[in-house]
Amino acid sequence: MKTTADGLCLDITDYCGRRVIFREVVRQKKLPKRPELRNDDFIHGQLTKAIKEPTYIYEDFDRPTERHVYYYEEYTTVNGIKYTEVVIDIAILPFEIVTAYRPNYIKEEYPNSKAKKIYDKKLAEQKD
Amino acid sequence: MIKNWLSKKIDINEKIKDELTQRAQKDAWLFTFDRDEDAFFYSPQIIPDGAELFNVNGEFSVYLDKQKNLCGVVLEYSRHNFIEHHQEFKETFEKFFEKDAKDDVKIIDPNRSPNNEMKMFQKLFERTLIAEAAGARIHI
Repeated sequence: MKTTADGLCLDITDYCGRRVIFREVVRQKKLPKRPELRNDDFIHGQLTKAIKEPTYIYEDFDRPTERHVYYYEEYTTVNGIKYTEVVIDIAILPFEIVTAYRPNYIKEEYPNSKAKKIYDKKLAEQKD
Repeated sequence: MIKNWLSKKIDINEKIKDELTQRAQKDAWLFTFDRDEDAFFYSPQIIPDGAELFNVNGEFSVYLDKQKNLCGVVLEYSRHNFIEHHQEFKETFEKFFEKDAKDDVKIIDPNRSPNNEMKMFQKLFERTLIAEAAGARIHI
């Protein structure tokens, strides 16, 4: 994985133009349990798309004012919809990626979840 | 990304019932609590490359490897979801995983733990996952 002199493996802007970074040290820490993050194509492909063109964004269930969860809808299979999910620390700029993976569900949509949806791409496009 | 891999339905409930205990023993699964993420993993030290994540019932998910073998269990929002709904785990969870506030990631190998409480936690945890998966009756 190529990193910048500042130790960043990703440095991009989100759909609103806000800077989002992914520290290599954070990626390394998550690698053992998140095989998705070992894949360069994933980082520069789906993960980047999730930040630049999210399908949905939710407030984090536990820390709604500090973290947002970006979802990018990849494709639909017989097993449901495959998403890329990126957890982002939004407490200060630049935003920082906490982790990312590829679930076939949106955990914030499960019953009893108090997580609030704050962005829906389809609704945003209708308004435009 | 590989899409064909997902084109065949798998009975994840059967997989958990048949494979969980055996896989956990064979591959020496560990408990890992990532405090920052509030994620709790029961898996080998390294989840293999190419593994895919599948939801079971909203409280836990599983990673399946390229051969569709079970290779890890993940509880997201572990403290605020799973543990909250399974109070029987709360005391041991707090004692073993939350006590050392300095550690972002806490790893415990239940098979090497001299503590009987951790072995009981492991047994109860496996039984709970199997029961919950049976209740979910999910096919992927």
